[in-house]
Amino acid sequence: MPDEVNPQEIIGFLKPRIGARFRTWLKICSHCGICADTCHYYIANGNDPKMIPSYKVRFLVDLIKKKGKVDKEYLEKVYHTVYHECNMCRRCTLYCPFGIDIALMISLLRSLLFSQGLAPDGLVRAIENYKKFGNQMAVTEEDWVDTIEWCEEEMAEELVGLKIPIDKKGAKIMYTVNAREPMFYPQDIMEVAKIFHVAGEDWTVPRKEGWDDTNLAMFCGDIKTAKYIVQNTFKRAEELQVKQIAITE
Amino acid sequence: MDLYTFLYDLATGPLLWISFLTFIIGSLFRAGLYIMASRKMDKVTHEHFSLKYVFLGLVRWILPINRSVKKNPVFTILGYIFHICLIVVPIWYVGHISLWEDSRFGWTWTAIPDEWADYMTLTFLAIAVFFLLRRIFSKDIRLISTFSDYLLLVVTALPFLTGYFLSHGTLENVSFFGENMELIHMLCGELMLILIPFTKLSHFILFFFSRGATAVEFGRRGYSV
Amino acid sequence: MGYTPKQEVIHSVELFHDYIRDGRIRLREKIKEPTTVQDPCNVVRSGGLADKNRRLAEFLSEDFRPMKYQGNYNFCCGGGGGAMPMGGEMRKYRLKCGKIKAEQIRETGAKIVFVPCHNCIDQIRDLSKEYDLGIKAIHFKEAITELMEIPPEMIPEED
Repeated sequence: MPDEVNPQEIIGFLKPRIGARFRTWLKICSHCGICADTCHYYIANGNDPKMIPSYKVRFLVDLIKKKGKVDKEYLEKVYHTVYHECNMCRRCTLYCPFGIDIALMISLLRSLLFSQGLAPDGLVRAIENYKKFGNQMAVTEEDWVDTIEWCEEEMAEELVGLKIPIDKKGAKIMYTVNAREPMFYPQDIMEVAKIFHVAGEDWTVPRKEGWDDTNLAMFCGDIKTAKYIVQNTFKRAEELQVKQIAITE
Repeated sequence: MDLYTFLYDLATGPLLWISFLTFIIGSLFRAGLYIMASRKMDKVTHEHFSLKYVFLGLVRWILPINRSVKKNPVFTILGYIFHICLIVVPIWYVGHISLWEDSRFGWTWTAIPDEWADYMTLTFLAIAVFFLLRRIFSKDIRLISTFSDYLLLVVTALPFLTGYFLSHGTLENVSFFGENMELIHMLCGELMLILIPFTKLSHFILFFFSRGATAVEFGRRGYSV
Repeated sequence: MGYTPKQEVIHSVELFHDYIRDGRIRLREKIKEPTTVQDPCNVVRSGGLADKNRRLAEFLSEDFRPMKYQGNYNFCCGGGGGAMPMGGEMRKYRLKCGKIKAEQIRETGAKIVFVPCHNCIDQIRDLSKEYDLGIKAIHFKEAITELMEIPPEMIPEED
């Protein structure tokens, strides 16, 4: 990322994205502290006040007040909070009297950091893979199909007539997996094939990209790639004319 | 004309109008701005809008039948009592109603008994003090508190404190306060009304939108919060 | 995401639950050891499957023990929001905040934890090591394939 932070860029990024809800939340949060012990970070860190959800989004108020005039160090502080101190699990929202959605604000801050070239290496690597291969683990189409066929062979020995239909048009369900499955846990694919077979389900998996139902781009606020990943999946579903898209556990 | 008369005329005349109009128009503006901005930028709320979830969410949180009450019974119940007193006393206190009746509007409605108003005011003030102490002494709340949190708590409590002094003649023998309590009380009330639309006090109306938006957000995921 | 899909998206938990409920999958037996189930944020809080998730776990267990806050109000395992794929930089933070989940699991006394999420399962397996929980975290799939009745015509003939 560049050493200099451009305030106009920051404000220019935030302004069109801070909708009515965000503005209201930042305004009316009464700092009552009810959210404090709803957060697992707060409790696990010995009730550390710095882990109070409401405190974690102070940056948003601050950035607007400062009109984006912050330095790189400041953004790194934001990074630490929004990545290392929040899972965006939304538990705090359920207890907030105003229903303030902290996770959405954290997500906006992550997006802002991404626009400034600040994102976790692990997620950036995954994003590169999504762009190149359509899945987070850089599995090629060939490897994917090989894995599916291998799983099918293995399972057909256990269950008579078991098939893993690839690109079956008009199937009821298009099944998608986590890209870690073909990579590390082919067992998962075999198991689901068994269940579908016994249940007599009409299912298929897509050959081309779109079979990975994870979306790590979403986590670091890369909305463009996140959208691309989702659309890939729906494009396949459209082509295969399925009724439902099922996602793995 | 001396300063007192000038201020008194101001507080009972133009300033009274200004504060009520600021409060009413400002709050309507807040609501209008919310709706406009949300139409444009929070499409998700409108795409998935469901009256059922909004209604359920509002009922659950306006009444003490939500998870937060179960989790923090003391703090939340005090919060509910605080808000009930805050709304009931200024509107149904007999002294205020008679002012409305004498005004050009001539409006009148049934008052609550004086003792109620007294007890509710004292309860309100006690809770306000508790909230203030909590803000100061709890290391959690202290960290997240801003200057305006302290200020607005004081601004909200002052009309009650001065109102109590005024109706009981508590500081009658104290110089300055003795003569000016009515004026002070009016100015405090007017200050609060004026600040409502511009500060977090606007939650009195934005609460409904925020709660509603979140109700829709979780409602579209299949359950009611 | 500004895209109105024509297809319904359905989570495996819902599918599996419905298969068993509707008798499309029959179970030979249930797990005898005490079990509990994690409520992944994406499946439960943001997926609306709190009830089905729990009921599926109950279908499969003889001794199901709900966690405190089971359902929509459950705690995050600490691996969500991209924490797992962030890798090394996040490891120490996620193991620390996962203490809450570890204690919740320990409290139930369960030996098997159903975890219908890849993120959560990796985190909970790490937590089991870190906090010495002595549990086995499994996907529903694994339990269902082990417990389900296989129709006779699908059983291969022995040579």
